[in-house]
Amino acid sequence: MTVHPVNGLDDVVHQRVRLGILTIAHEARHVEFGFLRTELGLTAGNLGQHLSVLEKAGLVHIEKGYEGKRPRTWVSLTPAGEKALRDEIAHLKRLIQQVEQAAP
Amino acid sequence: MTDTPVPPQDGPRELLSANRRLSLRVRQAQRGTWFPLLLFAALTLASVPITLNSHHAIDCRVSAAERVCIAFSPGSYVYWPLAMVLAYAAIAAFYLRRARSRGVGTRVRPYVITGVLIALAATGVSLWLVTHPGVVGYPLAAGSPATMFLNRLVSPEGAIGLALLVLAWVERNRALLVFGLVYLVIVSFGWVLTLHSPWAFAVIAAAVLLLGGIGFALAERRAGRSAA
Repeated sequence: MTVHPVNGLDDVVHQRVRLGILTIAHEARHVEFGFLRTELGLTAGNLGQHLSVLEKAGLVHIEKGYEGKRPRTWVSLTPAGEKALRDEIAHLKRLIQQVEQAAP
Repeated sequence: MTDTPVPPQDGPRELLSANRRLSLRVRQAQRGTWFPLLLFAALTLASVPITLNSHHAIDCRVSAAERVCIAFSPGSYVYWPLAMVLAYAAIAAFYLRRARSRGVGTRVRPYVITGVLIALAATGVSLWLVTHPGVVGYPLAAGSPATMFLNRLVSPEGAIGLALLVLAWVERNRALLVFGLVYLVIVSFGWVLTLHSPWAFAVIAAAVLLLGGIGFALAERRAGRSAA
């Protein structure tokens, strides 16, 4: 019996905004809060909530600091976050493949 | 029990497509290809008077058909290693500053390290070639295509081109990869056009870098505008 790819999806990651955060953090190595907010088109509060879900799940590391006098928040992926992103993309690709194979 | 439909933007195809779009946006924000190209164009042009003023022939040998000499420019052996190290330091500073202002990390370190290593190795090899006449048929085979190819590849212009391939990999920039390969072909075989004129060869290399720098600057500007 083969497990349907939908069963492998992680509820924390399988969401447009959170997958976007993980993708950007993966590509950028570490990314500033403002860049995430602009690229994902979110309010600061909304982005903060998504980040806190990802942080609680151990997928991102959040670092707060100052650059000159400006407060800055940097987000980077943890090894678990890297793996979660890889797994999610693999599941999504498998899902598309299965849908295409099932199509008449 | 209620069935919750999956929002259309959260379908697997849409998620993967959004994923690719975001990756591309980050790469665009990280790129600064024009800066090293323009910097190296300026350094290559600036090397012309130094090469010309310290250019002299050593160890001339006569073959059946021609008289072949090793051309040696002591000034360029001082200028290029220094210029390269300073240039890569400036490039690292540029990318770090840009990354900080745009809010994304940078992956420029492998390019800077490889660039400095290639530049120093190329200087070492070319210095070794002129101080060891007779090795690998040099200078009697100096006019042969293979020797000229090797000579150009270990020239500062060749070292710049090889490091550009590393930058293309770091920036995941296909356009730069194509540009780097074309530039290397021009540098490696440009001697056909400028056999007796080392300064003309440097001017051609600088012109290609300059045009590339302007082209990448315009492309980055257009990409930035369309994303805004």
